Amino acid sequence: MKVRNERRVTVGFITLALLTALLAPPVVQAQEPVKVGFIYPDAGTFAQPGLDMRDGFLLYWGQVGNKAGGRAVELLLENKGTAKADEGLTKARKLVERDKVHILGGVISTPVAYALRTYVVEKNMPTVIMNAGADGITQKQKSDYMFRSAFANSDSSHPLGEWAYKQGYRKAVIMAMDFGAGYEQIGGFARTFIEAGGQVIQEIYTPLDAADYAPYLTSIKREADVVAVFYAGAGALRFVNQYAEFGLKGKIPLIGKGYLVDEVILPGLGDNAVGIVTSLHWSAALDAPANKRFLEAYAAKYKRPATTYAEQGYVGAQMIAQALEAVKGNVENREAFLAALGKVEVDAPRGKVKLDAYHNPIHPIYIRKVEKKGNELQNTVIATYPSTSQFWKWGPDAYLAMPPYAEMKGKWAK
Amino acid sequence: MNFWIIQILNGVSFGMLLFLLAAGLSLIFGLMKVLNLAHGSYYLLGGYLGLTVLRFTDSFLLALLGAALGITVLGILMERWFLRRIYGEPLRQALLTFGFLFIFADIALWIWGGNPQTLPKPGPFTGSIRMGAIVFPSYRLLVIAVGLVIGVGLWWLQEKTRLGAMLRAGVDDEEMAKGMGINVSLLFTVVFALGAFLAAVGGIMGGVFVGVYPGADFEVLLLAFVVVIIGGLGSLKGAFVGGLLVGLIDNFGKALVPEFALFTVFVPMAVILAIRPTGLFGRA
Repeated sequence: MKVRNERRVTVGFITLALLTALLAPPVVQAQEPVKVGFIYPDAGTFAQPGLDMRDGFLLYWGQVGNKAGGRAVELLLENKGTAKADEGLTKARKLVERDKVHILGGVISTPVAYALRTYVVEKNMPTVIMNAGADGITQKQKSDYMFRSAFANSDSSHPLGEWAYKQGYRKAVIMAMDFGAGYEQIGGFARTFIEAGGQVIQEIYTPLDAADYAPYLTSIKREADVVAVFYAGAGALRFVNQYAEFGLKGKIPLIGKGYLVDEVILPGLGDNAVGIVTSLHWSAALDAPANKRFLEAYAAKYKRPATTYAEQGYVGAQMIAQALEAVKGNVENREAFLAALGKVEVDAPRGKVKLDAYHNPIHPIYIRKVEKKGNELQNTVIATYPSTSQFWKWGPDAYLAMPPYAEMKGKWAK
Repeated sequence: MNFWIIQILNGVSFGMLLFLLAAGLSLIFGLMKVLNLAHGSYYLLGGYLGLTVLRFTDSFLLALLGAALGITVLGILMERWFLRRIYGEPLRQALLTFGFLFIFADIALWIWGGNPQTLPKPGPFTGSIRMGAIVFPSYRLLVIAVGLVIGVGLWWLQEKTRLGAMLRAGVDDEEMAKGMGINVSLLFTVVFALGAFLAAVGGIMGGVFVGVYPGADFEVLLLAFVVVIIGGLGSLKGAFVGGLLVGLIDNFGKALVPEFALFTVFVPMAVILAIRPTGLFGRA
């Protein structure tokens, strides 16, 4: 009896020891937080978009108590001068090599995104781009490690071209800021507009820092049915106001990409903006419960209205959280985590967002019209293109066989 | 014909704005040999300050005066507390004023945020003037008028007043001016204040059609440099002619050959540097 008892105790001990050994690593692992590095600019031209993107990102993590997939999530924010390629890369190196982050996110400007691309591939680092829109990142330069919560430059331009043709516009003048994003943003419009049967009669590209649009506005061909443009930031503010000043408002309809009448510059545009139609993947006036909740929570926390950049940061956090849930917090299994990130389907403020095989969102695109509601201006949604792909109706293969928009600059006008 | 009239008016109005931006820079360099890189900040802060005053008072005139005065005080403080210690040391001056440029940019971002803004136009100048097929914003005519008034005022100050005589004496020969009993130290402060004042006026007049936003300080500084290089550093006449010239060339360049829009401002500068390195009215 005694011997048997001792044996039983021994067996019990061994079993216990084995169990502990088996259980121990997951327990220790669960206590160590998932580290997410976030890169954004907080100075210079892109400061405000950077801050908005950050605050949207933080808002979501605050709402879920900085936890996902059963693990705590630690956020490491890197700012200062991250609008430039080399500086963004330096910050990424610091986050990856010194802080040992598991995931990278953020990134406002395209040069930073391209600079990061080679690096994150080399380091196998899952990266969620929450603004930088260069088409290439999720098209010809697609990578297994880069994902998007925001947009590709031309993805919301395609619907606008078709929409414009359906309104009866046949001759368009296109204008854009003279840089990569400008060609893609306006090229997407030109391609679908021409494919529908429309004609581009004039192309004008203006220097990024053009202080005055007067010389361009006064040389727009007056026989145009519509002027389609891409302007953003201070340039948009000047453009819309000067368009009205030179008597073009009311003569030739002005349409473009949503940045032209971004919610933050609407107050500075006043009545000059009323009637302008633009396309984008979001509007603050979008009447959807998820958007309402997002807008209210953001305004309550930060005492300022949310922007499209804030929404993109928020969606980026939603995507990371959902992928972490899917792998039960085991971000160390990188293969599984990357696969989970590619399969996310989130209920974003803008609507349903999932990713295509190139990691760009398939999401609703809204055609919005600036209207006055009470004393405030807003981008009222007048048409919705649900589940829109960056490849529009062509599909990836046919689309990628066409020349990229940068090469088409100057070749649209007939 | 209409095309040319509009383009000329455009060019002149933009040129007048350039004159306002460049006059202060040129004036300060002419007398004090200080290249004030923080000049762009005066534009930016002037514009923002004007915006704030405008929000509280709803008066464009008060905004103009308030912001210009505020920036003038800022200029005086900078001259008295900082630049005064390093006269005759161009490298240190460049570093110091460049440092101020960054500090002011961050302060502006902190106070006013990063969203681009414009100043609303003063009441009577919100509309456009129509003459036949010509539509021209009336505010731009106001800019031309203000530019002319300030130009004439500065000319009068420099050529017809005692202060102007002291100023010219100081520019020509500082030692001799001191020997004649001119208070050069006070003169420096006055000129620095005047330079800041002019940039702030530019910030408000320009803030209406160019806007105020992070980065405007650098852009304005660049434009002001182009103008003073063409007109000649230290010459008010140069700033005036240079401003008009750049405004017109830039405008016609962009309207007629938009493919070269990036260079239209810099081509005249390069040409002038090649054939007359001191600028049109500058002295070696």
